[in-house]
Amino acid sequence: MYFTRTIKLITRFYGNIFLANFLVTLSCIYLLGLAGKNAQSLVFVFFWYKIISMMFIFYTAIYYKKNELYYYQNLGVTKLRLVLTTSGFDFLVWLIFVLLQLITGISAAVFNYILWGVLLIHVYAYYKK
Amino acid sequence: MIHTLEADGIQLDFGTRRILSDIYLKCETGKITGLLGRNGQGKTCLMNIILGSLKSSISSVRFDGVVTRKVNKRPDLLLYLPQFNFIPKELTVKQVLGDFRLSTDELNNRFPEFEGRHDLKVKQLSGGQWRTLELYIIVKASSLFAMLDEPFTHLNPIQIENVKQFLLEEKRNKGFLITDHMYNHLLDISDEVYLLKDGRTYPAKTLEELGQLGYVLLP
Repeated sequence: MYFTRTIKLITRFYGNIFLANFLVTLSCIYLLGLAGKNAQSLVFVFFWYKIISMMFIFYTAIYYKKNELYYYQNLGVTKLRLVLTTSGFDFLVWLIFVLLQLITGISAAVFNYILWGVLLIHVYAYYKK
Repeated sequence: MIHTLEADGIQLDFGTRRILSDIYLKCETGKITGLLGRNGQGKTCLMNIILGSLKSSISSVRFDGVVTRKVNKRPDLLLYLPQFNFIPKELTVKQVLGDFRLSTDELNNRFPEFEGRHDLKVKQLSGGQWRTLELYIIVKASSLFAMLDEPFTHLNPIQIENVKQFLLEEKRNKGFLITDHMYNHLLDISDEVYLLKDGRTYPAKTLEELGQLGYVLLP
């Protein structure tokens, strides 16, 4: 029960920053797709691009949501746990997408469509909320 | 069972300025402990040190005599109501109560103004209702103690009287440490009061004692 509630809370927090992080991930994949045969040599560049953008996004989220962190804290989920779990999961998503891209070599255009799809769904969900 | 929360030996410096130096306060199940002090005397800092979210050079926070650090990871021991709104504004009243495993019926019984408002988002409530909901979850959720930082802010006089009655009813279940600038209300409901002045805590219970310590002007 406690575990389920913790997962729910972490998911709720991650929902606030999902779009920004996912757009960064998809832009990495898109650019890797464009690089074609040179993709492998550019992975480290995109690794640092992802890390730095993640730090910026999480810092901004913590700054603007600092009052709400007390809500999570009163439910047993500290700021550190929120940041570590969500950033860890987000990095895992990035890694899976990068590996998929490197193995399958999916066209950049496909990711372009996915990116637009995610963006539209999120904008729709935001206005509906 | 009676539980105790004690804080002492706390020392806090900001640069060369000493904020807290000689602190002792005790809180017990069944009692409301008031903490008064002028602006900038370190009331919120003291609460944050007890909570473990602010580091001090020396501190001893004990629950039932056992030194406990990082209390902010133990909501079963202590819950904290900060002086600002902290519930995410996009959540509905029902979601908030669900997170803290509280029933909507009980909220309705204690605060009838919430009847029919459970599906509203928190941001759609009035400032007073928002604060009342925050207070309600901290007071009712399961824990040994609760620290309330300015609980009467945003509340109208009728809501304040309701909340005072609510706290008096609930103190049999947990101990409360409350700070607020509305000292008359705090004196009404507190079993013990400490005045924080020049980095030290002074026990005080009456207006006269607070006047002698320079907190209020005596006629």
